[in-house]
Amino acid sequence: MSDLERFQASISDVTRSPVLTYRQRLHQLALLAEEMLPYPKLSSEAEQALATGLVSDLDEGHAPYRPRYTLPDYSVALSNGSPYLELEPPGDLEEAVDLLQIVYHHVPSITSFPVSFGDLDTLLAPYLDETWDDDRLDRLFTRLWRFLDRTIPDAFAHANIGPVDTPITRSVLRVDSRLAQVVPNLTLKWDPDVSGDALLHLAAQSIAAVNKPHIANDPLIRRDFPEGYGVVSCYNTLPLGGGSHTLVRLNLKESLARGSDDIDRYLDTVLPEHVELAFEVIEARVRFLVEEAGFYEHSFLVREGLLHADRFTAMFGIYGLAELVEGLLPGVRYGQDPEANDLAHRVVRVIADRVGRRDVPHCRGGRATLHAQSGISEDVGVTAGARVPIGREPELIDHILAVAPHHAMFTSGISDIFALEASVRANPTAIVDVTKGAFRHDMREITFNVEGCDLVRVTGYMVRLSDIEKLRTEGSRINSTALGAESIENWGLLGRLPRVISHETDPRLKSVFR
Amino acid sequence: MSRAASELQRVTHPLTPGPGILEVAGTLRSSLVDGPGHRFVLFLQGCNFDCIACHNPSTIGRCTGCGVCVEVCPHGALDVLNDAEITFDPAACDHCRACIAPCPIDADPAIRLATVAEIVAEIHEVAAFIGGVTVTGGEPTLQLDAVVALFESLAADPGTSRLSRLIDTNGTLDLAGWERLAPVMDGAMVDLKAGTDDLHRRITGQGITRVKESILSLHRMGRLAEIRLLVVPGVTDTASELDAWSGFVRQVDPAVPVRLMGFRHAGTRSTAHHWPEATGADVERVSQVLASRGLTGIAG
Repeated sequence: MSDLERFQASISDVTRSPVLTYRQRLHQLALLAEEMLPYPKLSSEAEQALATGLVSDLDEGHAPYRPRYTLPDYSVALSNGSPYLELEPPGDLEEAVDLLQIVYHHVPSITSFPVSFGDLDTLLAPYLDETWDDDRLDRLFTRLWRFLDRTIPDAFAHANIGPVDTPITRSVLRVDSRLAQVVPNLTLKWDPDVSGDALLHLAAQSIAAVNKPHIANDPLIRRDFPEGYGVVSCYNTLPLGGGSHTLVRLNLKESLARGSDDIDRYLDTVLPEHVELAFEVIEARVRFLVEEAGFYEHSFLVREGLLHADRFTAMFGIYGLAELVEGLLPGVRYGQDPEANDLAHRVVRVIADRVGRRDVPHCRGGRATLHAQSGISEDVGVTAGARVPIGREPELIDHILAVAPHHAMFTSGISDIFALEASVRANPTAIVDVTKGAFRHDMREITFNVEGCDLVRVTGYMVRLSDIEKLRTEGSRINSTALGAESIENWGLLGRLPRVISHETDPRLKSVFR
Repeated sequence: MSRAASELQRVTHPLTPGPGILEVAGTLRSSLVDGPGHRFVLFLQGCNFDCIACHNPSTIGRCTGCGVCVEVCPHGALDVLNDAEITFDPAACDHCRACIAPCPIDADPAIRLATVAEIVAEIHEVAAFIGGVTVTGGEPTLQLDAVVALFESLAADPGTSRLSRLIDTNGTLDLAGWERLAPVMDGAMVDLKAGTDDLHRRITGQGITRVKESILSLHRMGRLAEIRLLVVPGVTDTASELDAWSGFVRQVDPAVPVRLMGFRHAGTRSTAHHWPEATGADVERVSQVLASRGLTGIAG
């Protein structure tokens, strides 16, 4: 088969797929077309690294024409309206929600849907007046939640609340736990000095019911992002009014396979070379997006000040830390043995140090940011990010203590999911205690999966277990359900609940039509 | 570190713990079910009840050193010291529990002696992650001196003083004992296993009066954290039992926190297996009956 025939066969598969919606087909066709273009120019070493899986660009495409993640500062549109969209500033809460819904429609990301709905309570609380009691607020947010879930069917789309405890913060928690929807994903920014314990208790009750929200250690993350930040997609913490041009990840298991098994030699020579190969891919992609595609010159979001080109970073992802450490120290178990944990922290320090010093063009502060990448559904036999392998996690407290020292180094986010037995549902205060403990140990963020919920986390985003069964025969309204189905099969999530698996994206929807 | 060191100490049975020494059946660094929040749990050995439905019967008896278990141990962890004493070597034990089967009193020899300081050190390791400490058993108040000393240490130590201190008790301690505990204890979770004295004797082997006195005393001192009822279908949930049970609790305080627990066979001795397990519906029905009798503090 020639290249053209293969291309036509792929197009044909998509156009004829009985399970993809119109919109899902459109997205796949665009991706296939983009991949017919040559990749941005790379050295032969970097090309080889991409081709063989040492470095992965998560199938972002060959000609990046929009940033991977955008986190618009919606407050600008609320204050100024939007000349491009011919919108006046809203005069009341309902008009403000209308404006947000319109702007969301125009926000791009790698999934073609927005990944950030902004800090909803901070954005909307100024519009509260005496006419808004809890009942009326709940009705408004029930409508908004239904709108988001039905029109933005992608589980990477993320709303943030907190750290200030407002009537909207509480309404969002009530509505979100009652509706138990996949969209939006939800993060509570919690600050012990600002938010108060009562808000954390409410969040704990929601977690016990629907495994949401994810909780961010607000004061700690804010130190890294003085301009503000948002939590989007799978635990990515990124600058507000900016985002990330791209996410390129280094497979540490593959890195070891090509390198030395002498620890010092590996860390001093092999690893830095591999890190540089990933940087080369990052740089080529960023240059194309900024210099060729010109996204930041053409987008009204930039022109009107919702996005700022200089607030975009690039995410340097790693995964397979567990396999690397256990390969370097045969016989030890990452997560269990202090020697393995120490080496894991040392490896991450080496990478973080490189990321902290290496210039990357067009990036915020001239730097990329380190990210523990949660994996994609095709990752079989490689553990996500810096996680402890599934099924081998130590007990809760030891698990937190093993991974907490990593958190300071992963500026753009690290995902660890902690499984809790169903009995926590009768005792959600336990979630409060564990969260406070994790933050006392400087974890950036924490998330839980409670046994027995229909809505479960698969890396960071949510999947309804009851949707999985329907998927192959009926297709799914929600893009990410397909990703969840594949990763559940590959990692045995269902067999291992409440042990949790991870992956971030299956952009090719291979689980559906390959 | 202190935990590892103390665990590896040989133990001689029968135990003769000195002052301030705890007879420890086990510890749990992370519990979701022993009081409010995420808690450290200390299980102490020995109980003055012998409840048919006990789900942890190996904590009731204290090893007498008779030695019938020594030959049974597949790991060589037990040894005869002399006619009246045996030794237990924690380093060799793999917790298979084979030693409990031949024991005439179901006592676990695989326990350890720990100082208050050692337990405090263990709690320190997890203090950031928990909301409190629960001491249970066995019947923890049988080791009153050491428990008071433990709570005093936890209260005085800035690393642990914020943790709530609860005990889980059968309520047989006398008033003087509760008065010693009250200043250093946040509350007691008391089992009231029946409504009538007759059933209480059948289930526990002891009368109910002392337990009721304890509940009243604790309530008066502001230290009654909750009253618990084990729902055994057809046994503790009959109309007359629930009438008597709710009548007493109402007299204490209709709003006192009440926790209902469904009976399960897991962990119990075979003598309890002729009783049916409680379903969610059984517990829900009892909850409704108690609510209809005016109790307002019933939790799931």
